[in-house]
Order: sequence, then C-alpha cells, then structure tokens
Amino acid sequence: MRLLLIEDEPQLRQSLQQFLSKTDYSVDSAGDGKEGLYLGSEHPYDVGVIDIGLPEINGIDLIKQLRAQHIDFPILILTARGHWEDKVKGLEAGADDYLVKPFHNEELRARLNALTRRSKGHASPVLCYGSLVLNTASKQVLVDDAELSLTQYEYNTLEYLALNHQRVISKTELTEHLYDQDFDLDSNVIEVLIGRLRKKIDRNGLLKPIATLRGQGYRFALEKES
Amino acid sequence: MQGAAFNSLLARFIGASLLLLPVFIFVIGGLLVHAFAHSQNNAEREKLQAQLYTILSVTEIENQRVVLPEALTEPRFNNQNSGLYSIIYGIQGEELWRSASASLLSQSLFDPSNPFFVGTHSFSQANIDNITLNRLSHDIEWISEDGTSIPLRVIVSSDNSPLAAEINSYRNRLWQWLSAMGVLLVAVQMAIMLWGLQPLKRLSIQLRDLQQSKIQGLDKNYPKEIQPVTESFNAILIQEKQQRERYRNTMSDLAHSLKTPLALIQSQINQQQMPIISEQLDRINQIISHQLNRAVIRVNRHASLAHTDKISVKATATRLIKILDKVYTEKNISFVNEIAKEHYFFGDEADLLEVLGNILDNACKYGRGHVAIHSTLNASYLVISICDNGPGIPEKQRSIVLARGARGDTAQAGQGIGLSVAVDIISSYGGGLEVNNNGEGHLSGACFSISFPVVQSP
Repeated sequence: MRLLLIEDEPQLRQSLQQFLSKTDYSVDSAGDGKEGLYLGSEHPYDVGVIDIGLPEINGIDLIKQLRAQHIDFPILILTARGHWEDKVKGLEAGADDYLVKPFHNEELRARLNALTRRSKGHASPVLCYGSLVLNTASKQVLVDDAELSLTQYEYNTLEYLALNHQRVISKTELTEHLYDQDFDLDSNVIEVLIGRLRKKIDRNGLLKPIATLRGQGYRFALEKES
Repeated sequence: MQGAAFNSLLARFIGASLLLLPVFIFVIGGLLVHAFAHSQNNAEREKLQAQLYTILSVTEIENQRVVLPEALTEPRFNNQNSGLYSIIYGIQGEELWRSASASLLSQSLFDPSNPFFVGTHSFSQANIDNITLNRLSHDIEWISEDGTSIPLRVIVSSDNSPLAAEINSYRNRLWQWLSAMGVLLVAVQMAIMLWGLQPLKRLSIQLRDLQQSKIQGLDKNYPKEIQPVTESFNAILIQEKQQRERYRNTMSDLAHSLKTPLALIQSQINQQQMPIISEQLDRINQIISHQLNRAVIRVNRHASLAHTDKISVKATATRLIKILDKVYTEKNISFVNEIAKEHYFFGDEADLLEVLGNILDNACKYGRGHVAIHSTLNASYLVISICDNGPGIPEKQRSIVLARGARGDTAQAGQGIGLSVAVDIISSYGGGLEVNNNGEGHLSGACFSISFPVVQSP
C-alpha cells in the first residue's frame, strides 16, 4: 500500500515514515502543504496521513483541494490541539478519521488499516476466500488453517490484490502502490513476486488465487465469502 | 437623589420640574397680579383726580362758605350711595361741603394723620361704614375775592369693590391659565425628555442585542454627545476580541509546540516494551491538554461581553453526527437527532462543538450502536440530553467522571480528558452536567444531560 505522509516536524515525519515503512506501507513524505498537494495530485495513494498545522497550505485547505480534484483516497488527520472544532473542520473538508497528537504508533496503524480496508469496500478486517483467509489487522495469511510465512512485500502484494479483488491490476499500478517513488519500473520483480506467492499459497495448484491477464496485469480470482 | 425612585434620568428630570415649576408659576403669578393691581389703582387714582378737578372747577366761596351747584355734571355725585363721593373739609377737619351721594356716610373721610400741605395729592384707602373706599385728597388754598386765603382739603372717594372684583377675577383667570400652562409644560417637557433620552434607550437595546449576538457592534449614528462613548465601546469590543483571538492562538501554538515533541517521543517508543514511559507520556499529554483548555476557557469566562453567537444546536449536532458517522463507520451507529429547530445556544460555537463532540464521541465509543440526542427548553435552562445503549456508568464512578474541574493528573487511565473539558466549558457558561443511567427502553446506557442557562449571566 502506498501512503502519503505530510508532517512539517522533520523528526516526527522521519520517525513515522520509518515505522510505517516497517509495517505495510510504502511511504512518500512531504514537509509542507505545497509539496504534499503536488505528491497527492500526481501519485495514486491508498491512504494519507496529514497534519493539520502545515506551512504553505494548511492541512484542511490541502484536503479540500485534493477532494476538489476528485482524489478520494482515505485521509487521516493529525491534530495537536485536539479541539473538536479542528476535527470537525478536517472531516468536513474530506478527511475520514483523526488522531490527536501524541498518539501510539499501534493506534495509528490500526486506524490506517481500517481506513484502507474500508475504502476498498471490506467491512471486516478478516477476508475469507474459502481455504484462504487474510487477516488484514494481524497481517496473517492462513491456508487451510495453517499460517503462511510471507515476506512483507509478498504480503502487501497479496493484500493489495485481495482488497481490489474485482479489478485487473496492472504491473505499473502494483509497483506504484507497493514501492517507493524511485523504484525501477522496468525490473521484473513483480513477476518474480507473484510467482513466489502462487507457489506459497497454492502448493497443489488447485486454488489458482491469482490470474494473469496477458498484457493487462493480474486479478485476484477467488470469490469472497461473506 | 440616590434613592431607587430617582435611579432613572427621566424620574430625576420630572421630579425636579414638578418641584420647581409650582414655585416658578407661583412667583410669576404673584408678580403679575401685583402689577395688574398696581396699574388698576393708578388708573383709579387718575380717574379720581379727573373727578377732583371737575369738583374744583365748580367750587365757589361765598361769604366764607363753600358753594357748589345743586346738581353736578357727574351724575354719580348726585345719587345717594352711588360709589363716588366728594367731601370738602377745612384745615381742622370741619366739613364744609358734601356731595349728595355722600349724604349717608356716617364717618368722616378726613385723615388727621395726613398733614396739610398746599398743592399735594394723597391717595390712600379707608374703611368707612364697612366699605373699602379709594380716597384722593388734595390740599389747596383758596384765595377769595377779598384776598383772604381759605385752606381746603378736597376729598374724592370711590367704592373699591368693583376694582377689587376685577382684580380678583383677573387673579382667578390668571391662576387657571398658569396651572393649565404648567400641566402643558410638564407634559411637553416629558415628551422632550423622552425624545432626548431616546438615543440612550436605543443604546441599551443595542447593548442587549449585542449580548445576544443579534448585532456585532453599536451603530455609528448616535448624537455627538454619546458618540465618544459608543465609539470607544466599539473599539474596546474589537480590541477585546482580537486579544482573545491572540490568546487562543498563543495557546494553540503552545499546544502544538508541546505536543509535537511528545508525539515524536511516543512514536519512538514501543508501548509494550516501555509501558511506564508510555503511560507517563499519556499523563503529561493529558495535563497539557487540560491546563491549556482551562486557560482558554478562563479567558473567555472573564469576557463579559464575550463574542456570543446565536448557534443552532440542531445544526451543530447534525454536523457532529455526520462526522462521527464517518469515523465510526464500522460500528454502524444509528443516530437519532431530536433537537428542536428553535433551540439556540448563545456562546462560542467552538465551545458547543467541544461539549457535544466529547459527549457524543463517548456515546459512540461506549454505546452499542444507538445514540440519541434531544433537547428541552424550560423557563431557565436549555437541556440537551445525549443517551446511548452502552453499559452505562456505575454510580460510584459518576462523581469522578463529573468532578467539576477535575485535575488532569487525577484523571483515570483511559478515561481521557474530554469529559472534564466539557464540564469546564459548561460551568463557564453557568450550566451543569448530569449523568444518569437509563433503565428502560432500547437506550438503556448512559444519559448525559447538559443544561445551559437561557439568559446568559454576564
């Protein structure tokens, strides 16, 4: 998942970027509203974390401008004052959730997970596809009740495909959402990654969770059980 | 004039004129009556003088006796008790002649105290036979044909009662007119004063409107005597607002600059591995939030004419419900907003957002999917109730939850400071917060009742 982090305090920004990268996100960060608006307008993000008190363009105006461009990835706002006036303004501008500084990293992660999952139309954090079960909260993947050991990139790829299960996902889109800005698009890392995932999930070759559409990309092929 | 009755400019003016006007009218009336009587007396004297000359013109001395024709040209001298008399005396007061009209007068008109001086007139009043008479006496020396001089005092006298009656009727008419004028004057004065005090009345209405936020400042078109006051008031109003805004901004800057490092520290530590540090950070954070909030509330409370807007409670609740619905999407909360459209909160919208936001947030957090908000208005309070269907709050903990101005550092872990902030704000408006558990119905959880006084005490 690709995340846009806009926070003006450099150390906090760095610390959050480190933490979020360690978990499930490929993070682009900006230190002011102007740069943040540019990134948000130019790249497809899955979720954003935006501080309200930003230089150049404040967080609320930034969100308004993004929403005016019909950019609708979920946004979580960070507020230092914690006043309801700020929260209401932020959410009315188009944010989806808020956190009051200081916050626990785990809390932030849980909120972000819920936001991304909801934005893809999944109500529950546990996605069941027959014998394959994805727990987006604990980041676990079970096949026939046995936990799979996946690398972070493998898990993120699978989760992205599963969350967007109705769509065909191009390699470019996958790269954009899973890797940082400076990733080399020509590499065949994605193909290798998908191959490894298929092997790990589908040892017997019966499940066929990921379909390849030649020249178009990949599609998560399993039907979700409600 | 410190009494309660004179605690009004109008009462003072009316009181003063009611006291002064009668004195004024009395003095004027007295002077006018006096002047009128004086001129009437003068006229009477002149008339008597003319009569006296007609008497003198027909007076003859024959053989030491005063002789006048039987019938005089002035008929009143010829008729008994006509009210016009003439008697001629010698120097000793011996009567030498009397007109026919005076034949029945029993007393002498001669005034011995008036010394005899030839050529002098003397006008006076005398009470003869119970009638007041005007009396003009003229002393002359008659030189007879043989050269002897005979001193004579010729007295012409008239009945004073017609004159007195005229003066009396003048006095009566004068008093009537003056009283009518007085009443009219008071009425006109009252009207003038009401008109004159109109700007002050308008000012007081505007001040009330200002307090109720119907207007933002006083008008500019006041009379020039009041204008300096209204202008300075407007200036103070603006200054005060700016000052409060500055203070708020300072506080929020302070919050920002304190909380960002805290957030950094928090992001660096692992909650599980360093529980004590994490917990202490939470406490520091709560104390900062609490104290900064209280500081802002305190400065607002001291502003007597604080910027009080007329806020629709329903609209504010609707805004909050909309965003809470978004935040708590997963809980799929059903909100019932039964706030009456015509219920308004007079104060700062941010305060109402803070109070309702904190309590609604708790209801969403601890309720089980149902939150209802409704309002009632009685003579003195606007009561907003927020109920949920959660587990409710045990009796024991309610006082902790509601401890007025509870210190941030005694807040229970996990309780947050939202409620104590709400309590602080509510009490700064002179209101109250009550918590009950709803025993029955599908909303059987906690029920918070916020009451705001209808008339804001300054």
